[in-house]
Amino acid sequence: MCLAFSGAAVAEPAAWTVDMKTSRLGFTATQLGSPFEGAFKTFSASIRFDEKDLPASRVQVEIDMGSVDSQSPERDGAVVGAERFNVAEHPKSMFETVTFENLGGGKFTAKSRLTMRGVTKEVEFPFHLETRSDGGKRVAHMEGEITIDRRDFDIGQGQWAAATTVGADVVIKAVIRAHAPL
Amino acid sequence: MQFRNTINAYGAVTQAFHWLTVCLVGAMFPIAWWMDDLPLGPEKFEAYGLHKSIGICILALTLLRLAWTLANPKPRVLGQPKPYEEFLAKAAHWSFYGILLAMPVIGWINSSAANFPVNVFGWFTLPALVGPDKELKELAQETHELLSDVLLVIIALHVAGALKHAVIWKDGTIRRMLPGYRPDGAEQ
Repeated sequence: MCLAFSGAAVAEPAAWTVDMKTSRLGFTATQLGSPFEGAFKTFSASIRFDEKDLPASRVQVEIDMGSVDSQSPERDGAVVGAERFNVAEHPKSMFETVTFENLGGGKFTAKSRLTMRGVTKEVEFPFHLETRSDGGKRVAHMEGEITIDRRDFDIGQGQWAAATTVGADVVIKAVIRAHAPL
Repeated sequence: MQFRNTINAYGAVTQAFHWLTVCLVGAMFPIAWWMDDLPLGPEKFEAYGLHKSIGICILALTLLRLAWTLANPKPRVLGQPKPYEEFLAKAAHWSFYGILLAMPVIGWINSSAANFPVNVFGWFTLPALVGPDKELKELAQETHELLSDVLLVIIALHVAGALKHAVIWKDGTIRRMLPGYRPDGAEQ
């Protein structure tokens, strides 16, 4: 009786736990026009998502900008400096969804707010989502990417402003695997 | 104009390969010293970009040059070198090919292992030869630097040999690598 009652009363979408080992928050930036990849090693996500209840669904991702890893300690050490990520003053970036739209076939788009280096911009985040039941829980596999212009977030001041050496466009790609109770 | 080598003279193609290599390799050392000293900034990226671009050109040039050299006669040795001197000259020549092929490839491996792309003059990007690998990057960098020192020694040996031909034996070895050289009786 209790179960039936609580089941009916749950208004909030399921809380998903991210599997950090199999999830990746990566990016592709360009240097003299050639792409290179990197990732943010440390991030945390608070996910309340139910595709049948999109208005109540919310995702918040907090990214530790100092955890940037482009496989080059020299480059990573430089990118966190004042003219670029400025982690001393802005250690975290924040991604928050505002509204979701179901486009069908596992495709969604999330109108979201992205805050980096203290600047907040509205972004459209399209993603693909697969969920299934597995061993008494639900598992989800989400993939999505957006292209941002780093200059919109004031990333790249002074000598780094020109887009010729380090390109303006940066592709951020999220691959998230998460699970939730059935 | 004689394009191919003969038994007595270098053709125009071999001469062009030689002097183009001199210019490119000659430019690489000051660029390398300059880029190493730059603080990490856009200028350093540009300097490395230039170094990599020229390096890939040297790789392509040396491959073509090697094919050309193997497909052409080698002009005979002038002067009166002793056998060990002739051996040193030959060793220097073949070492040049080895180093001018190895250095760009090792530099390319260095970039790939450091997860830095190799872009040639903004024309195109080369594929990464290896995945990101910090230990391999260190090894490649040290080998690249070591080979640059070896290259300087061989260049010194090569120039010393050329000067000995010009000053001691007073033969046409140096003039033979310049346009307009005519092998005649006086040279022999």
